[in-house]
Amino acid sequence: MTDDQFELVTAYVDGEANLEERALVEADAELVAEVERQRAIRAELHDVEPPSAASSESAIAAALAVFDDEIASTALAATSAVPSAPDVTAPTNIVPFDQRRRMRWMQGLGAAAAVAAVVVAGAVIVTRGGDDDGSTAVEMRESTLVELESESAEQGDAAVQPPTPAEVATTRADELMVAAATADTDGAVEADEAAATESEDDAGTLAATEPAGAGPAAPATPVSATSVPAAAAAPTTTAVRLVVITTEDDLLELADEMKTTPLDADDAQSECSDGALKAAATFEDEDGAPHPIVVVAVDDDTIGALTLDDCDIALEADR
Amino acid sequence: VPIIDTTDDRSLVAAAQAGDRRSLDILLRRHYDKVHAVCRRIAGSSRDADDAAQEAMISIVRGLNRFDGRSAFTTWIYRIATNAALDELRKRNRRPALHVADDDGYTPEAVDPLSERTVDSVADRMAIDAALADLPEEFKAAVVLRDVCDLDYGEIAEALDIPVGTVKSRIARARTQLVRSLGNQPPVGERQSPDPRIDRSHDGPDHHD
Repeated sequence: MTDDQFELVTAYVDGEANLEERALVEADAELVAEVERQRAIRAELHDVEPPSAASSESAIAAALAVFDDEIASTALAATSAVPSAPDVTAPTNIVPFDQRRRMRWMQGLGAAAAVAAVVVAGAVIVTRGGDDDGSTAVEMRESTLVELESESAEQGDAAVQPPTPAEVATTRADELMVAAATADTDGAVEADEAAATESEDDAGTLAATEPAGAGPAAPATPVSATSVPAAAAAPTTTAVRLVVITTEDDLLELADEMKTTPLDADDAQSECSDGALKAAATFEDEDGAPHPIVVVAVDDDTIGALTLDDCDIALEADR
Repeated sequence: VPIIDTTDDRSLVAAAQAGDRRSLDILLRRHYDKVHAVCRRIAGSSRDADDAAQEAMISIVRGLNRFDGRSAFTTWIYRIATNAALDELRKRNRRPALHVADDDGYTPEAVDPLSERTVDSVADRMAIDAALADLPEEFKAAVVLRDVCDLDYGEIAEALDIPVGTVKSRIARARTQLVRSLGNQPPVGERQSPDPRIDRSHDGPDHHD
């Protein structure tokens, strides 16, 4: 037999031969015998003894430990990594799980402060008799912002809207939470709370997602950790948490919070060009336009925010 | 309540990429046995396979955010498993080997345990391991991905980053060599290239490259 005949037989055994090639094999007794030999080999190779339960558990535990130490504790992907998935999309920006409770506490604090501000503002308006158009306008805007925040959790928007300056202003300068609910939204807040505290090992929920390749402001599809069939889950909750930076101080703070060493700027630019980087945060430029970024080391004394949309450094800060 | 389809790798991958530990756990458990099987066949021993499979699991976790979904998740993890097993194999080969020598320093030639074997005795796992151990790495990876993981030629080409024609050639040569090693060698002189590692003067194993 020639090498070509061996290849022919192999393709036949593997179901990769075309009709003509199959006919050639089946017409030749020697080739048919080789088919049987190769099939026997194939069957034996396929029959692998299963691993021990101990090795399986050990390997999976080691991998999950790496996940806990290196992945879950850092900011994760900002853009979709499963472009063609029809029903699930990846998150826009994820805040590490260990920051979730702190964020929630901060948001609660922020909301309480906003309510207090409205109360104080209302008292001022009453005191002044509403004769100052300028201050009234400011106070009305604050009230509107508070309403925006609460309504976002109560209204049944099907998609997450891009963050607006007003939304950013309702919370901390560098953090934003937008909660949107679909269908029956009365349970949205409860669901999110439950998800946040669902597991001590951070096996809770996911943040909201965006379609593949879309920018951070694209409409999102929810993802969760439950195994309920898609058709059975009419009420859905979507939560987007963005770490937004605008200043050098924000960048420094973000870098301080990172548990991993920033990538070298040159390496990061190369990986960015290859599309291999995932955003750790969003940089908002002077026009308020959001840009997904990663933190890079420009040199020993300088860190930078490398934007993933143009692989360029948009912001630098001295350490 | 948000939804995820735990029967679908894509959904689980997306969730795991977003930080969901439970989805990652499901994914790893779902594919561990096959990853281990790849490592077992390539590394050649259960102990090395355990080590390689664990390394593969860790690599999967570390690389998960770089998985872009353009290929099947299984193709991607089998590639990782293949590389982990080959790394383990190389590490093992670098370790000092134990030699049996008499007082004069003479090392007896090992008896070929396969010399009298036929296809009927291929069930002997040691024989299979020994036959696989004799294969060049690139042949072994291709035939294991085909015969253990049931990947088609296109998927193997993607996993190994080689042309489909090369996949076909490597699998054919691997199987031919396995048949020979296990006692079903074709009559001498009828093959053009009995051992690609010895004779590559023409039509070598990667002639499709």
